[in-house]
Amino acid sequence: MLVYVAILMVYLIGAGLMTQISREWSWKELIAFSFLIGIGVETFFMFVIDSLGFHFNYIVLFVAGFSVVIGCYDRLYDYWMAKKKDINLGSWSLSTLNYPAVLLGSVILYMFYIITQKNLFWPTLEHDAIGTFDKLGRVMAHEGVLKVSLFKYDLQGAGGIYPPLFHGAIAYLHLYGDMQHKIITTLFFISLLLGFYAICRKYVSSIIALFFTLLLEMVPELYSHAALLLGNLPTAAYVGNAALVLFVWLQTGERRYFIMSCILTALSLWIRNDTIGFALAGGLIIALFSTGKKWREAGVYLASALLPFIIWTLYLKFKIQTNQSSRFVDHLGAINSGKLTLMLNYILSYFSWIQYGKMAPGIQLYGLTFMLSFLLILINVIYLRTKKIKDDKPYILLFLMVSFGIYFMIFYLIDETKQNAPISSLMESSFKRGMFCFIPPLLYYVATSRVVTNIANRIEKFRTGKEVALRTDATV
Amino acid sequence: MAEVTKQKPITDSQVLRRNLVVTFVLMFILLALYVTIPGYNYAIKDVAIGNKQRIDQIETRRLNFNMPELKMEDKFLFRLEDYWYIKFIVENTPDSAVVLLPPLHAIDTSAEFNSLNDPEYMEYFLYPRLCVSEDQRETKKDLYARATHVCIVNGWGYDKLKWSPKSRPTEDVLPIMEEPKKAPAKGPTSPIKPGFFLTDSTANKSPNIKP
Repeated sequence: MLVYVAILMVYLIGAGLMTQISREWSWKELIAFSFLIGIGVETFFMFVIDSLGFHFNYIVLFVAGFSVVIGCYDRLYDYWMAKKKDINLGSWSLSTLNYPAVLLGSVILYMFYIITQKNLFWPTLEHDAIGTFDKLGRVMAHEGVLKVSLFKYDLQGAGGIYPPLFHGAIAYLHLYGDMQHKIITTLFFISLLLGFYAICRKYVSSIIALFFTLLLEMVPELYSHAALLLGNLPTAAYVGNAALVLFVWLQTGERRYFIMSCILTALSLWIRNDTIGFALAGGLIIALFSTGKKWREAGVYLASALLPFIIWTLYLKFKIQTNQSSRFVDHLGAINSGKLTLMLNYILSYFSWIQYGKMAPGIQLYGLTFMLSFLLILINVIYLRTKKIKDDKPYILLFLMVSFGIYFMIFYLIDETKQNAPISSLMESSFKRGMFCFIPPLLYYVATSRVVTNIANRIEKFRTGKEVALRTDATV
Repeated sequence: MAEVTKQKPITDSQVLRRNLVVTFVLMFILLALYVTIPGYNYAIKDVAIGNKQRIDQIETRRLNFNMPELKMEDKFLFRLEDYWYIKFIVENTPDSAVVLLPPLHAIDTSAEFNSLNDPEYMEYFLYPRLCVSEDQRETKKDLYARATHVCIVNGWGYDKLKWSPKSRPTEDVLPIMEEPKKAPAKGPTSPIKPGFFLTDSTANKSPNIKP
């Protein structure tokens, strides 16, 4: 029972901080992002308490969180008074109901229910969760510190050098209810799907938004991860939502989305340091495509994103006394063409139906995500002709290309000897799962592309008999 | 940009018919994706529905046999082939123990025990005890020297003892130094592999799970 109180506290912290930024968030955006922010704040409290030399427990964290909620109470109350009227089904009738949307929504909810049932029924069974994340979470909850005793005997596991958001979140739930901690994966999954839908819905019809949300939900490998206690899905929730709100800011200029993007990008570096490529790509597109004080805004964005990276690097160096760069090569040297060819072959496999190595091909792992997206991008380019492609959110394509390039380089620079694993093994595990982060922005680009929105408009026109123009101000 | 609409005369029944047409086309598209794309087929048939059926079977059998709600330990026993042995280690060693795990060569022919050699994995179950593998005797000398108990697996480990036990089962966990006779152990004196679920056509024997 206490674990549900803990979860509610997380949402209230996040909602309180979001209402400090703005009261214009829709309910979907509030629910999706408040969990991501709230759990980040709680793990930050753990970090601060640990750094000051104290031990944390559920009472200390509850009081800290409650203080934040009390501090934000006025804004929360104003938001509730302003937005409670939006909680209604609106006027509808069986004859004019949007049946395609009902079908899609039902499928999304049913598949979500099934995977959640699996997630909550079985205990932690994944090797990485047992070897690192859940183990660290349990021990952190028991000992009340981040630098647990396991570090002394090198028993912490490979994820011991990761920033503390994910295993800190597990520890947070262990503090309140030991056996219910797997619910954390479900909550991250909700944030991922709801955040994606909320942003898409601002620009496209409900049918298209729900269809692409279903495509996101049913990415086979991602869907499997919704029943596992691993950090890749939560990372995708942070990176995906951070990218989407950044794109919304570039499109609309609404300041709240810029602030939200800074916060979510910072938290994506608080969950995994190898998301730095997305932060750098985000800074680049701000510098190139934003209006107003480009370089100042890019600087603010990068500074807020890199702050957790720097804090954690210093903590690793001075408290845990290990070095993150210890897994990378000491010097660049000549291009390793064998390694490069192997990596490119794996990437080709992930983007297509071609099998390489022992790994299933992309059509098995990611479904149609990449193939359909590349096809629709190609059609969009042909449809718009080359000149007009520059008018259809080119910053998203640039963001994807730059972040993927950096992500590729990070893996290329890993020293196989220090990592104690061949590159093929890394490509078939970490790289494969890290691809989740690219899926939300890619699907968002395709869903809001001119060719898809034109198809959506034709469907709406046929379905309702009304001609509907593009919407940019939807609040629900 | 405000929403721009142009009203065309269309009745509610026409809207309903058109909605249903779009719905059926959408159902056909979703079905086509499920049938033709192996990834979606796997996600829906195996990950989703297959697991749901499995959970439903387990719950049905539990209710049919009037068993109490399954605890997490029962679920570990069902899904991890070596959990019965891990549980035995936990029940027969004190919290302060440093457990010596078998080397890879002692377990590499037994699929059932293939996680026992991994201290990072085993620590999850054994904490607050510590554990060290025989393969780490050179890399973790301090911890190796502090070992208090040995995992006897496939008959390996008796040579690590400083005393000679009367019986030598192939699986056991014993203190390195002979302990004085005390109250009986919490669990059975030798680990017993459980037979909770009878094998039947649905094959309840579960493989050791490796992601």
